[in-house]
Amino acid sequence: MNCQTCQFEIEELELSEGLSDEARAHLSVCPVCRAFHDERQALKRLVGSLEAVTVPHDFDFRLRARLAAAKEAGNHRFSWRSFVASAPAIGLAATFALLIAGFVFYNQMKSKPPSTAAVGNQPGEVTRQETPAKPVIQSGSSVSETTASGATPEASPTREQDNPSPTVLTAGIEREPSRSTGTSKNISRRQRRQLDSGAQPEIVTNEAAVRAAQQIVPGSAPPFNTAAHSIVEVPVRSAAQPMRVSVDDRDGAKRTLTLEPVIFGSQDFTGRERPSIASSQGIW
Amino acid sequence: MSTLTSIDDLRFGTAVPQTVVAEEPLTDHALLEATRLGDEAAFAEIVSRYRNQITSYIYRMLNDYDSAVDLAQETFVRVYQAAERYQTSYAFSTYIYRIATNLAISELRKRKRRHLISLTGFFQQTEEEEAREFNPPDAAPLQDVVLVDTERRAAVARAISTLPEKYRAPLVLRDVEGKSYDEIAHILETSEGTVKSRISRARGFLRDKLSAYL
Repeated sequence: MNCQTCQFEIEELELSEGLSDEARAHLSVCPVCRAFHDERQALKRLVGSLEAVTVPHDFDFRLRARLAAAKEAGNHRFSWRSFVASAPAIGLAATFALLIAGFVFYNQMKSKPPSTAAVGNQPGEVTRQETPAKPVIQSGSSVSETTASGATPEASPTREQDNPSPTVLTAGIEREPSRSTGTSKNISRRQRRQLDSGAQPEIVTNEAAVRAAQQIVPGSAPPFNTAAHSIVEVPVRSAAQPMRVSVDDRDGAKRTLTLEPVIFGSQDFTGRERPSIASSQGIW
Repeated sequence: MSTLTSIDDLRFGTAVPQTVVAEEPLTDHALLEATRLGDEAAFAEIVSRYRNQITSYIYRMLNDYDSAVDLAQETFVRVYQAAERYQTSYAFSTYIYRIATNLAISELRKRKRRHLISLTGFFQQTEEEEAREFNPPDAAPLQDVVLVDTERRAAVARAISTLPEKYRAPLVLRDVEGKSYDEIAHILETSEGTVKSRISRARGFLRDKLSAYL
């Protein structure tokens, strides 16, 4: 037996076993392995000399309290299965109510017309378009209506006949599609509901536009006088976004003007990038 | 002349049997089976069998008596809660030591994350050196052997507590608790060869730390 094998045997010796005869014979002639053996034995004695600790007197009492608390927590744990098993009538009633609610909801969804379809293309009717990020201000005699969402009221033929003015000014705010916000979607939804219920779409404009809009009857636009209303005020909801105003006449010619945002207080001199901290309400 | 111990012993006209049948202690598996059926006394018997062993083992792992008692109780709570899922594949002692080991190792890792600062650490010379109690050297020779033993045991406990956890558990199970390699392998859920290797490494560490006492 060599030293490695002997030390291996000493190291892995089970507690109830003794060294083999070969190992003992090797220990008697090898001082290195004997020193290793003595050192390991001393170390085992040293570690084994650690006294075992005993539990405190109130160990059982505290353990019982802990088990009771654990049981209590387990009893209070809510389980649908146990709830339904304990009250089958309530579970059945709840299931029935859910089924009825689902059926009613399904019927309502089924009877609702699709939101993207046009309401009508007859003259005098308002045609809705799915352009939520393209609000348009249409001006009759002055500024008539401002829709902040995709509702784009167009001049109807009847209106054109009653209003032989050669020029119809349409000013629109076109926002970038990627910048469309949840607000415009909300307004679009609200306006869609109003259209569904037959009400006029909500007008968001300034005071001059409100006054002018009160004089407008759908289907008969008053003549537009550009000299009297040379200035068209356009409400800007977000100054941080570029505004595009499209002006077109009745012949189909269309001009688009892009107005860069004017920001006071924190003008960006480094480029045309939006500031990192910018919201639709302003720049901070 | 036999003595009466209860009113039931007064059976007129019948002989009172005096033979005492020596009851063999129930095995751990039987006790746990009884616990599963709702026998609280059986679980109390399990607790009385293992409470000192488990507390002592966790104490050697943590070197903190209060935490050891707390985790020992948590061990029994978990045994009780998992009594229905217990399978008799291994010995119950292996099962309960495995729970205790996992709890102790979790506690050690929590402490490592918390970065507890020991007040005695201010007296360390370097970061490598282990923490030692604020015990200024006394020039006077120790007269009492008990004091020497106490100091030696404290040194051994401190040395064990500085071992890495993967070496500490097998060493304590082997040299303090006296478990076999096979049992340690089952408790730690590793191979027997790994256990032997780790114990050998742990003894090497301890030999370096306790060379003054060898």
